[in-house]
Amino acid sequence: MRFSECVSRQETSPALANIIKSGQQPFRLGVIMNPSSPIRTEDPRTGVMRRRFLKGLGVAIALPSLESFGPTATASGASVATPIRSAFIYVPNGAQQDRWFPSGSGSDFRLNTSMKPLESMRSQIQVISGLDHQHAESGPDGAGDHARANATFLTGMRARKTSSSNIHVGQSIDQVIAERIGQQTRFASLELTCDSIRKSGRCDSGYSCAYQYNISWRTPVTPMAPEPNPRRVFERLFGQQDAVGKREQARRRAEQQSLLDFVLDDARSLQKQLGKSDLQKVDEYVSGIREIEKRIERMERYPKPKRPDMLVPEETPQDYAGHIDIMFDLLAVAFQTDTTRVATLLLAHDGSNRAFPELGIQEGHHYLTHRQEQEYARERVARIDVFYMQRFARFLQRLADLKEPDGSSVLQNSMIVYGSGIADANRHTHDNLPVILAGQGGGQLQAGQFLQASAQPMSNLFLSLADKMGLRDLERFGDSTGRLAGI
Amino acid sequence: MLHHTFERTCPFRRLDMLVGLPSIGSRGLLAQLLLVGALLLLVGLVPLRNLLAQENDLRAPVSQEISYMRDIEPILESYCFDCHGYGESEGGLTLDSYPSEEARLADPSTWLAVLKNVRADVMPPDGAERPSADQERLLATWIKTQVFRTDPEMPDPGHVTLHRLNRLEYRNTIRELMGVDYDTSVEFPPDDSGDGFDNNADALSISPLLTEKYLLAAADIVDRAVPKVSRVVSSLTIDPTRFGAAAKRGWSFDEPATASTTFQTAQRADYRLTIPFDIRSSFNFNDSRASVTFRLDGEPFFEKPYQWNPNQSGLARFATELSEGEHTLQVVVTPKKKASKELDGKPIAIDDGTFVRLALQPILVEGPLDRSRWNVPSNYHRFFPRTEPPSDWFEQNRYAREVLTDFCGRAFRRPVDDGFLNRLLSLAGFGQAPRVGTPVDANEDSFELKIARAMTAALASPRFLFRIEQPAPDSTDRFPLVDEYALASRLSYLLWSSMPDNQLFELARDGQLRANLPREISRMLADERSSAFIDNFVGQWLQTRDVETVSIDALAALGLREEYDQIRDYLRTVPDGFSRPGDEVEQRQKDAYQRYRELRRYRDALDQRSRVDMGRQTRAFFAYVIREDRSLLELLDADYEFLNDRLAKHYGITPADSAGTRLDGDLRKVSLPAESPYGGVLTQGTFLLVTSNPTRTSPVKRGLFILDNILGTPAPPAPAEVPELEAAAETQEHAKTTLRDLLEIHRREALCQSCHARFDPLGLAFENFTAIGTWRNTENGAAVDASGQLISGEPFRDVQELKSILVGSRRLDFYRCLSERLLSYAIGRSLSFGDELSLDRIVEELEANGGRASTLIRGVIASSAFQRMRVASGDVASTR
Repeated sequence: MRFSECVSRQETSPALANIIKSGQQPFRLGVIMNPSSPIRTEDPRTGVMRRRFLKGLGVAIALPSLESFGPTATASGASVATPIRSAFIYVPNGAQQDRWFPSGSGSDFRLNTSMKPLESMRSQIQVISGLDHQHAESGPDGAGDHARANATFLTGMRARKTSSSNIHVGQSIDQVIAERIGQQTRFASLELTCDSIRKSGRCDSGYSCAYQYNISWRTPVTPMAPEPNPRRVFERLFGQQDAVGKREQARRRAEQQSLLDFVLDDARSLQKQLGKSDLQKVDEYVSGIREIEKRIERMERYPKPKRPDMLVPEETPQDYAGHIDIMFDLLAVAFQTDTTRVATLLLAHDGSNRAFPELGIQEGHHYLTHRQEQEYARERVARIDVFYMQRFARFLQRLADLKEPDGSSVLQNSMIVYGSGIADANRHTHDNLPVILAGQGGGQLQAGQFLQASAQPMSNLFLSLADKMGLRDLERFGDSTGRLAGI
Repeated sequence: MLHHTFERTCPFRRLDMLVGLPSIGSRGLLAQLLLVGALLLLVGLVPLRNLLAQENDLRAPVSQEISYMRDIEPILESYCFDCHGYGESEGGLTLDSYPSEEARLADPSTWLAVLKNVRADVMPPDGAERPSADQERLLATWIKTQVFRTDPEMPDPGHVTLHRLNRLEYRNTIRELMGVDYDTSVEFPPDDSGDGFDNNADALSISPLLTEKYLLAAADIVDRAVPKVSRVVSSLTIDPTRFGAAAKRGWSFDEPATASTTFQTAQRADYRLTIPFDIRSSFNFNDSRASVTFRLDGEPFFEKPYQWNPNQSGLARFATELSEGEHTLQVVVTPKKKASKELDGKPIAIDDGTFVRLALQPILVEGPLDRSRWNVPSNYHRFFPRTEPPSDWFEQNRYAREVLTDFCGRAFRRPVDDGFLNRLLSLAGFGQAPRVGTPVDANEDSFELKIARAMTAALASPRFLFRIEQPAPDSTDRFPLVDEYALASRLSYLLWSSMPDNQLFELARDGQLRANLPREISRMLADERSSAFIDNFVGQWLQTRDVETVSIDALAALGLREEYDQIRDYLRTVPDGFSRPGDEVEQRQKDAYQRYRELRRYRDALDQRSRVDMGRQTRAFFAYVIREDRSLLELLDADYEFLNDRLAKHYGITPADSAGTRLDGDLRKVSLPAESPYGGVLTQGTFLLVTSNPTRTSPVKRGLFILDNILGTPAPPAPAEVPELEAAAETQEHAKTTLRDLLEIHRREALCQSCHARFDPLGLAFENFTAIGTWRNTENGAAVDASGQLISGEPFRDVQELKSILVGSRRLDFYRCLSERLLSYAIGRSLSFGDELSLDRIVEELEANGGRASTLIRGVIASSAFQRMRVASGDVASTR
């Protein structure tokens, strides 16, 4: 069956739509979550009923008339101001700087070649220069700039150089925000990654792999593991809705609660027997349980959004562009349905040596960044930059197309940071980082400019964004020295 | 590419440059042999069996008497202080400025660096006067006993942080415990690894996302694994293909057809047959009609006419009493006469592509239908010892306790305490009956459902998710032995990446595991489950896991990418059918096509199948060395390989196994010709691929990999602001010189020389092997020169000679490196100072018996780190 047929099937087959829409609560006792339930579809040529799995069908997302399920989440049920969302996107290995930063300044600027895909989004973005991450510099720690680039990116802190024990960096900005405003949505925050395959062996120069594959940190010692599997993200966010009665729901809810109580009790009794560093591990589990309890509470408080009318995504796609696009789509839908207001997406860890045969680039990305004296390499790195930019542009377009109940676009009410923790991946510099801030933050941002900030910590930008997310009393974040003016 | 401050005058400015330099040099070997000899004389050779049973035979008789002032300082004065004292601090290291004895002893990292560099003969530097073997031994003993405070009677086992099961261990444990395969590689996010292994307890954290996944998994797994009722009707399924080959396509309505199959019944009883079928019809109309009949033992029980209908299915159901024995099920298609088109009295077959066919779906035979003769569900006895729960309330509760005691004991890998069990029983809905003999309320959930509820909670408990260890109750040592249950888990997660089996549990329960350790290790290694150890340890130590995904472009690796792209582009521009036969253009096109076809074969030389084969090859090789208890040195240098026909072709090895049999798709042990460069992990596709860049080999990566993973002497990071050597070399690529020539130029620079002399020769020795593991004699038209000289002076002409050196004068480095990696993997933590003595002991044993694999595994298991634990809470091992 060709792809186009799949799509037309999706439009015409109510059976399929029903199956996608039916389902169960995401968490409860004794439920088979069977995402690949066989469904029967009809072959138009033979008329034969065939068993098909949803798996293969989810390549494309047919985003629907989305107005039908706009933000619904208010505690009181009263209409409130449209919420502001923030997302942080990590792009690996910095940028080919001479082809990346615009020329001109302020609102009078020209996009450089690597940013051409954003041309139509010009009025919705600001490019910012002059932001640094001094804690990603080698300082006393020697090699490991790629690991530090990831670890410092959203924390503004120096990662303790250790391959395993005593991992420590800092709470990341998304988690600072989520901790404060996360109770207003069904999910406090969302962590995604397109790095589904990990290199084995040691990571960068004596740093634990935890620093390189996580950009979101709940506490200085506990990373928020990101989800690489789009199908799992979808099921987690939108679950499988159950057509069960109130009594049955209440029964399940009670059963669920008693399970959570039991596990919490058990963890506590265990903690009494353990030493300090062991305590921390069980504590992580206890925090996780608490977070789930809070979420259940929130889910009961806020009406569940209608399940988005998109096909259930397949398991992690082989095609990298497809993987990125679907993760961006999920992020967009999560924002649009007000399922969460804070998200991070790691496109690939820093130092990624991915080859791009689909672009005719057989060499690895990291390898090429260290061949700067050769034109072919500079040209290819720039092409990879464009590749990532195209994906980002597509995401912004999607956000711009999604409408809020008041008619504004989701993009207008968002603040999307797109950037890298390394500036020049050849020389491993961490000053003048490539940073784009997209969206208008509900009118709080001056989109449509090239902001040449005086040299200052990237944390200043985060502090300003936290402000606009409603955390006005936050005095400091990471290595901030103040707020970033002019955004 | 990696930056740190660096000064030109002295290549050893920084301490981290000193740590882990390779011990190379013939004098170094002599010193090490002397050291080993001296120790052996001192302690006598401890037989392995004793080591396992009682591990404290290694004495350091002089340790108590060593005085820093009297014994150590004079050595340092004579050999070290000229650069690291008297106001000098080469490499940022000063050894004579500690304000007090306490401060000196409180700096183990510095002294570990001293120990490693002296042991590796890196310090004092080449040309300087060196301490005698006795002095070296004295210094080493002082560092280990007084700085590291290692009690040779009982080395500090270090602290293993509470160990969460990683996703592989979780999956294996669930398979063993529940009998279902839960695909954690899809369901759970990847685990972070620490120090090169994904079972490193410190790096295994739990995020809220993972907590959520654990809870979902517990419910899902129990739902799939645990039967909710005690009786089900027996059934068997008959696959349609049993009716013959025609069943696949279906029986056409145009011709009469009869097909049959048989099935057995175990007893005389009522049975029910359910036969689902489809009438498959073409999209366009076909006028065939037929009657479909099913017969059981010759008696028709279903007969119905069907005709063209693009969407029709049917169902034949039949219940009857059947005798014990064989029964025949028959399907008959009888075409109905139709208005046939005839020509000269013969029917015309009009093949317009239309059809109507009968196709069967799997057939279900259920029975005996009488409820009293139903069977227990599959997997039932995995959890429930009795065929049915007692009907009495009191008895049922007692039975529930029995079932859950057993289950939790296995799930938590140690006996469960009463408090937990009581809470679990009450969660599940069991309680105390008012009095003996009270019947169970029929409206309640089934017994099995309640047990399933309890099992869900057990699988969500931290006691399942973490490996909780306790000291042996009768061990009063400062660092007590772990109890036998913890030992069983340490063994099973090391050798199986899974939970202990019943035999281990029984031995632990009876306190007999330690006493039977050698036998159990042999049994566990012989068990199929030990392939998890091979996969996971080799997969990470040699990065075998990556061979399936590492980006390598075969054409570029073979230097054919440009030509391929040109020909492909040319062929795209060629219009079809324009040239005349004999035309010059046509000949050119023919040649181009011909070459294009050749190049495509090269392009596909590294398909997914050959990558998978390469990974299997390395694992099979390692498994052979371990299971056959060969010398570990064969891992580096062997006169055999594990190959199948595809790999043999890929490497260009004559494809016959040792018995002269032609190879097929299965991997087999193959003897190599005497002059073959292959044999051993360093010339296998896995190593050659994972150390290459996507388009070319990387001698630097290969050299560093060997320093890091084979010799255990990782090189310091490159200095700042110096272009990466290979990158700089490639800028001159157009001159078409070899990588070797360019590396040579850079190695003449003093700045680079100090480190590159250490790993370049190692990497360049493999330049005959392309980035896809094939052999080449030339690079860019020039003959490949694989010769070189190690920094210690051993010269070699080619890779074979290098291998001989690695298993000859460098073998102690390899023993130590492999022991370090395995110990770290076995205990799930980074190594600490206290492990030095354990490692010394394993290396000595290996040297004494020719590097037998069992010595390594048993030595690691016998070590204090594996056998014992810290009990003082709160302290964390100071890792080095």
